[in-house]
Amino acid sequence: MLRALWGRARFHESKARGHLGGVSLNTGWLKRWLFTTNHKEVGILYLVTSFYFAFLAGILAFLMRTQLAFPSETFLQPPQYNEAVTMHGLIMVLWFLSPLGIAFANYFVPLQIGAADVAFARLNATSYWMYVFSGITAFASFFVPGGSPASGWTNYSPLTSLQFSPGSGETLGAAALIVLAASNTVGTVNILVTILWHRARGVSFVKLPMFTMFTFWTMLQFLWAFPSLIAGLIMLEADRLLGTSFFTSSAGGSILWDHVWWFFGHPEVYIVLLPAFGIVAGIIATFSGRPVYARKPLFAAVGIVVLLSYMVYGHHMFLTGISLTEREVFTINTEMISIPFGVLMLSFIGTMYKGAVKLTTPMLFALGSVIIFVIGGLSGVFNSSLALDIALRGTYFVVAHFHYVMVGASEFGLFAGIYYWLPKMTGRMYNETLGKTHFILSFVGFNLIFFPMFFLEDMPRRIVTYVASTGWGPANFVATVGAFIFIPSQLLLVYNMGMTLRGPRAPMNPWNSTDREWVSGPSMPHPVGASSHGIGIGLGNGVSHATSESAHEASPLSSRPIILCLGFAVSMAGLAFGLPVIIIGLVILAGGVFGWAWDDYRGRFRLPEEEEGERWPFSKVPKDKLAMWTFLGSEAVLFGILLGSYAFIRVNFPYWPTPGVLHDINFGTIDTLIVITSSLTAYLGLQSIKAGNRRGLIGWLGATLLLGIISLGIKGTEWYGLITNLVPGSPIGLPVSSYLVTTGIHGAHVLAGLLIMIYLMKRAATGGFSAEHYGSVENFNLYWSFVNCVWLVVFPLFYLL
Amino acid sequence: MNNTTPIAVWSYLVVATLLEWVLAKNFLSPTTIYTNIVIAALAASQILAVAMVFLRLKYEPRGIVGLAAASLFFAVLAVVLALGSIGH
Amino acid sequence: MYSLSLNLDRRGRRPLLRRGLLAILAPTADTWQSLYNLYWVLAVAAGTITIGSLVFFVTKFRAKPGSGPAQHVEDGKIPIRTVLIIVIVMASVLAGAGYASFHAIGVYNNPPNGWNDPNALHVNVTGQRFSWSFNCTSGCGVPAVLTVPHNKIVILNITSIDVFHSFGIPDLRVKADAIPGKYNLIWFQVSTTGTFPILCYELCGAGHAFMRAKLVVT
Repeated sequence: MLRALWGRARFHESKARGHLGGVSLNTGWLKRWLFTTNHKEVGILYLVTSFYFAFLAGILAFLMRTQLAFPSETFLQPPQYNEAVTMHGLIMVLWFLSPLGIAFANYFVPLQIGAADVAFARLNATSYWMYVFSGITAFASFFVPGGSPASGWTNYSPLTSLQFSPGSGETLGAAALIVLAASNTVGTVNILVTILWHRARGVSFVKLPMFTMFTFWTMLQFLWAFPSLIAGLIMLEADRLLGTSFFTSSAGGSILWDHVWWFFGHPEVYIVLLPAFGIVAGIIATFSGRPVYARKPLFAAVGIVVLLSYMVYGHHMFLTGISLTEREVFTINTEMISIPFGVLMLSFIGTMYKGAVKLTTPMLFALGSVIIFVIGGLSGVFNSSLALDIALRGTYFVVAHFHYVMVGASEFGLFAGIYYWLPKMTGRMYNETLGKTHFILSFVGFNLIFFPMFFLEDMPRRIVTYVASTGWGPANFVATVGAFIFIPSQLLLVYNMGMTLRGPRAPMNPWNSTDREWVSGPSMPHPVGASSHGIGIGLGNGVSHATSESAHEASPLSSRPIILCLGFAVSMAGLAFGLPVIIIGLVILAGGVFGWAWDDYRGRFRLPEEEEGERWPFSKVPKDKLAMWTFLGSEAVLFGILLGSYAFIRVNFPYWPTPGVLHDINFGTIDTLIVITSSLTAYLGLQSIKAGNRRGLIGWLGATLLLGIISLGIKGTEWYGLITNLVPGSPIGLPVSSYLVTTGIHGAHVLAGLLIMIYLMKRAATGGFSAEHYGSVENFNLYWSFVNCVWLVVFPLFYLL
Repeated sequence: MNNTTPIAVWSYLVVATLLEWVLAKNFLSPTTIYTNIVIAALAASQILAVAMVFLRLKYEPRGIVGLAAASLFFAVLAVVLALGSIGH
Repeated sequence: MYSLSLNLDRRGRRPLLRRGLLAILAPTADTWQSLYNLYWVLAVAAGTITIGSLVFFVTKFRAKPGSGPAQHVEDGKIPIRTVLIIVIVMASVLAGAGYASFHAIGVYNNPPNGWNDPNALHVNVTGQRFSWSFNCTSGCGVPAVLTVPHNKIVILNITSIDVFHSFGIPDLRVKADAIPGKYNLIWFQVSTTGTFPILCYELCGAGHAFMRAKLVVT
C-alpha cells in the first residue's frame, strides 16, 4: 500500500518533470498541482482524492463489520458505531462515488466531444478545491467534542437538532456538506455548459459518446437536486445555531426534513449510478466490437429516469403517515422507473449480440456491474411496494438493496472505467492478471457481504449489536467474512495503478475503440504554464510552454480558486468554531474573489476562442449567458424548496398570525415598489450600453445600487423590529424563523448583487463595456431580475396572504 | 427595443403591487379565499411579466425557455409533492 | 426468505414455527407474506431471464482467441419493436405487482370493524429514547411489555416524545414510524399465543439497538 502511494507520488513528480509528456518545464511541482486549471489535471486530482476518501470510509466499514460479526460484541461502543455508520455513508456516497464520476467527467467529457477544455477552467479548479476542503472539514468532525455526525447519512430530524446532537460535530458536518453542495453546483454549471456549448462539429446530441451522454443527464440531476440539500442544510444550521424551529416543531418537523432531504436524496443515488452506467455502456460496446444497441431509446430512457427520479422519493417515507394517495402515486412512479432501466439492460445486453466479446478486466467489471444491478434493481422493486415496505423499512433488506446498486453497479462500473482509461491517462498498460484477480475477489467478496443481508429482513438497520437468540449471527458472520475478502482486495487496484506507472507502454488505442477520446491523439496531461499570449498568473510568474499539439493544451495557472475555496471552507467551518473563524474565512474568501475579479479586470486568464461546433439548442446564446441561466435554474429550485418549506409549515401550523400583525404591509409594499423599480433601472442600464452609452450605464447602475441599498435598509429595520422582540433562551417561533431565514437568504443574494454592481460600475468607468461587449451587464440583469422575482413571491406569501 | 416597453411593464408591476396592497388591507377575511387567489394571480402575472421582458425570455431561443421552464417545473413539483402528502 | 424468531415461551418451547407452515398467524402477516412470495417469483423470473441472457450472449458471442479487432458498424435503425416489447412486458408485470400491492395495503389500512371499533383493544404507544411504553384503558401493559388477548383486534396509536423512531413487530409484519407530534395508526390480530419481539427501526441515538419490547399474546 505504501509502495503504491509512493509510486503515485512519484507519478506526479515524474509528470512534473515531464517524463511522461516528454516536455520540460520550470513550474514547480507543488505550484502546478495547486494552481492548475487544466481539465485533465483536475480530473486526476479528483480521482486520487476520491480514493483517499474511499479508503477512510472503507476502514469505517471494516470496523462496523468486525463489530457485527458476532452477537453481543463490544468492539465498538454505540456512539462510535453510530458515528462510523453515518460517516461511512456520507463519505462513500458524497465524497467518493460521485467525485470519481466527476473525475472521469472532467478528464474525458472534453475529449469525447472534441473540446479543448471545460467551459470555465478556473471554476473547474474551484469545484475541486471546494470538494477537498469540504472533505477535510467533514473528516475533522471526528475530532471535535461530541464527535462526528452520528444520525445516519440521512440526518433525520429531530435527532440532528442541538438538543439530541449536542456538540459541534453535526454543525461541522452540515457545514462541510454545504461546501460540497456548492462545489457540485459550480461543477454542474461548468460541465453542463461544456456539453451544451463546446461540442465539436459533428457531435450532435444523438451522436454523443455514451459516457458523455450519461454525464449530461447526471448533470441535470445535480442541477435540480442539490439546491434542495442546500436549502435543508441552511434550515438545519439555522435551527442549530440561531434557535429557529424548522425541523424541531411539530408543524414542520421530521416530515419536512424527510421531504427536503429525499427530494435531493433520491436523485442523488441516480447521480451516483448514471456516470458508472455511461462507462459500462461504452465499455460493453468497445469490447463487443459492436455499436451501442438501441442508442436513441437509450438516450430517451435515461432522460425518463431523470424526470421520474424526482417523483419517487416518497418511497423513503411510506411509513411516516403521508396521505394514502401520495403513497400510491409513489409506488406507481417507483415501479415505473424500472421500465427505463429495463431499456438500459436491453441496450447493454443487446450490444453484445453478434459481437466478439473480449473478457478483459474492464469488460469483466462492466458485466459484473450489470449483473449486480439486475439483482439490486429487482430488490428495489420489493421496496417500491407500499405494502411490502411496511416490513422491509429500516431493515437490512434495504441495506442489501442499496449496496447492490451503489457498490455493485456504481462502484464496479467506475472501476471498469479506471482500468479502461488507465492506458489513456498514463500511456502505459496495467497488469491484466492482477486486474482479473481484483475482479474475482471483489465480485465474490461483495456478494458474500450483501446477499445474506436479503434474508435479514427482521434485523433493524444501524444497530450496534444484536443478541444470539435472534438468529442473525450466521448471516452476519458470512457478511463479515465477505468484507475481509472484499476490502483488502481493493488494495490490488491501488497497487496495480501504482505499478502501471512503470508498466509497459500502451498503444494509442489499445482497445480499438471508436470513441473520440482514443482516436484524437495523445492526451496525457501536459505540464502547464502560461500560453504564448503572455498571460500573467496570479503570482506573476509567466512560464514559457512548448507544446507538441495545439496551443489549446495549455491552461494558465491561477491561485485564486484554491484561496477562494479555502476561505469559503474556513468560514463555513466557523459555524462550528465561532465567529472569529468565520471572519478569518470571509477575509480569505474576499481575497480570493477580489484577486479573481482583478484578474478579469486586467484581462488576464483569457483562453483562446474556439471555433463554433454544435450548439443546438443554444446556438445563438453566448456561453456566459448560458452559464447564468443554468445557475438560475438551480437557484429556482433552492428558493422553491425554501418557500415550499414555508408553505408546508404554514399549512400544518394552526396559529399563524393574520396578515399585518407580524409584518407591516405598508413597509412591504414600499419595499416591493423599490424592488420593481430597481429591475427597471438595471434594465435601462443594459439598454444604454447596448446603444453604446457608457455614462448611461453607470448612471442607471448607480440608481439600481441606491435602490438596492434602500431595500436592504428597509429589511434591516424590519429585522431589527423582529429580533428585538424575541425572548432570549426560548426557540424562535415558526413565523419569525421562516421569515428571517427566507429573507436572509434573499438578502444575501441582494448583497451579492450590490457587490457585483460596484465591480461593473468600476469596469464601465474604465471602458470595459461597449455596444458590442456587454455580456456581463446582461448576465447581471438576469441575476438581478431573478432575485427580484423571488421577492415578488416572498412579498405576497409573507406579508399579504 | 425602445424605452416604452420596460416602462410600460414597470407601470403594470407598480399598479399590480398597489392593487395587492389594497386587497390585502381591505378585503382579506378568514372565511373566504377569493381575495387570496386574486392576490396570488396578480403576483404570478408580475413574475411572468418580469420573466418575459426583464429576463428577456420572450426573445430568447427555445433552449433557454426550456431550461427555465424545466427548473420552474421541478421547483413547483417539490412544493406540490410536499403539500400533497399532508393528510391521510 | 423466512427468518426465525427464536422466542421461547415460559415453558421453553418455541411456539413460532417457520412462517408458511403455520396457519394464519395474523391477517397482516399472511397478506404480506403472499405478496412477498409473489414478488420473489416475479423477481427470480426476471433476474433469471436478464442475467441468463447476458451470460448466454457472452458465451455464445465470445471472441475467438487470436481474432482481430471486431467491426464497428452503426446502422442507425431504432429497434422499436424490441423496445416496445420490453416496455409493455415490464409495464404489465409491474402493473400486476402494483395491483397486488394496493390490494395488500387495503388490508393494512382497514381493520375489520374500522379504526373506531369499540370492541378492539386501543393502545397508545409512545416511543422515547430508548424504550417503548404502552397505555390503554384496560391496563394492557407495563413498560416494554404489551399483553393482548389472542384473536382480539388491537389498534395501536403510535407516536414519539423525542426523536424519530419506528415501531415494528416483525413477526406480524406491522410497522409504523413514531414521529414526534404525529400519530400513526396500525392494527393487528394474532390467532395464537406467543411472545413476539418489538424493535425500533429508525436510528434514534446510542440506545437504538437496545430499544426492544415484547408483545405477549395470551
